[in-house]
Amino acid sequence: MMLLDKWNNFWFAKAPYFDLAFIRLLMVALQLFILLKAYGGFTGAVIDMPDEAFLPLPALKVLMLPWGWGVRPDPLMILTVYWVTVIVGITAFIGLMTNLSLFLFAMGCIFLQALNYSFGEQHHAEALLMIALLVFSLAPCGKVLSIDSYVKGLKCRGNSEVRLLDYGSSYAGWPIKLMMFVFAMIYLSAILSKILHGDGQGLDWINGITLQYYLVQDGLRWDIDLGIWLAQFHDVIFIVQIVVVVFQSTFFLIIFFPKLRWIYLPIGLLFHIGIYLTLRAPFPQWMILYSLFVPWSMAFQWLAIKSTVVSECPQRQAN
Amino acid sequence: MRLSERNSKVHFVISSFIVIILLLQGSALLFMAIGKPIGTWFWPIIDYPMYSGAHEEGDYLYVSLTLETVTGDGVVSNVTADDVGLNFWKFYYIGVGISKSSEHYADYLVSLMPNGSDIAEVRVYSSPFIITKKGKTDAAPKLLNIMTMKSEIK
Repeated sequence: MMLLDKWNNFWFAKAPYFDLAFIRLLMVALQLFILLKAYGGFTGAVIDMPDEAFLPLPALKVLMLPWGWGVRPDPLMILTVYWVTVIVGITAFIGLMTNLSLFLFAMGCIFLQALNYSFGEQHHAEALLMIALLVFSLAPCGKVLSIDSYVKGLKCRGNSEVRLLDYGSSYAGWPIKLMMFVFAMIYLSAILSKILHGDGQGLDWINGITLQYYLVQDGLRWDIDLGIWLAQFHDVIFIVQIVVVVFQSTFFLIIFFPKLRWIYLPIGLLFHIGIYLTLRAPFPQWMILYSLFVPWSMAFQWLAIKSTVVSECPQRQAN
Repeated sequence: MRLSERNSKVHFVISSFIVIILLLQGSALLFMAIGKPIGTWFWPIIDYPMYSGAHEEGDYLYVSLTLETVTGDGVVSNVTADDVGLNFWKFYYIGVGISKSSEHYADYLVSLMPNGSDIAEVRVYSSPFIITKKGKTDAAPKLLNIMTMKSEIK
């Protein structure tokens, strides 16, 4: 019973709806931007692929099940799913039938991305955001900052009022906490693969040369002078590799010791900006998902107080 | 925390969902720890072995993979991503697949080429560089694999 209480107290502690809704806005905005920016990549590029290249991921097979196991979607279906996903993305952003819109948006994005990855090309940046969109779609993330909440507010006019940043419930915290754990597991996966099952053995990964190798390889591949220049400094790179290992293997601590966010989040952001500038590996989804670790309602409350209160300087007396 | 019956049911459903997600991503972690990584097959539940391969001085760089085809007449030609209308990554993964003797990727490449039915052999090479403590140095490209196709070299 005590364990159950602890479980409930952890996952179902009262939390503000604002945090959930604000993160929804960030996630949906980014994913919509990605969808619209890569229109050709999600549509024409996969439509033109030969059948020989089609190796469907199980996620796609499951979504295509009504049409048969392993069936390749035709161009009309791909275009329909793409545009419906964009539309429900917009409604999820503005918060119109928020949960349904977000769920359909998540499923549409999973469909399009899984289809894109069924032709031999796969990356690591997208999966986490897809899981987060799905998780958030099952949570009350449209209770505030949405058309739904505005309409409900009109209907309930005259009832008792609560301040936006204080408005919450015991169901507003679990999606954020769940995604924090998933995020931490992802960094643990990254570090485990380096330490346990990289091409090397044990701690061979931390030798300076490894990161020099990737800097030169990606520097030449994407024509990045900064990466190639940095790769000359073996000792510096060696230290950076130690920092990476410590960061990834201890990132999970910020869930249990929230004050560590002040250290880990800036380092993490710098880390992802750094790998983009030197290795051209974009992880915007992960950077946006760092917002999971920010208590937005508290931050806005603090900002609101700070911006309405100023220090009064002594006025010079007029002669 | 005392819960009403309705709340208990809601808590149970949400808790089950939380456990499922944690178990799914956690099992990917566990499989990696025991040496059987799931890779990206169960996307979006995947492993994250980004830049995980350890390297040492003298290792070949794979800036891109050079693909070479040999027709039945013995004509050798280089194939680039532009030749077959693919982006960098799709072309790169074809090279990786062929370097691991994947028939799927060999057939995929051949299907993209106008003279595909004449191709008797596909070869894949590393980039002509190796890594050193001071950066890179030039080296002869390393032949990674040769795959024989259905046509024969006369």
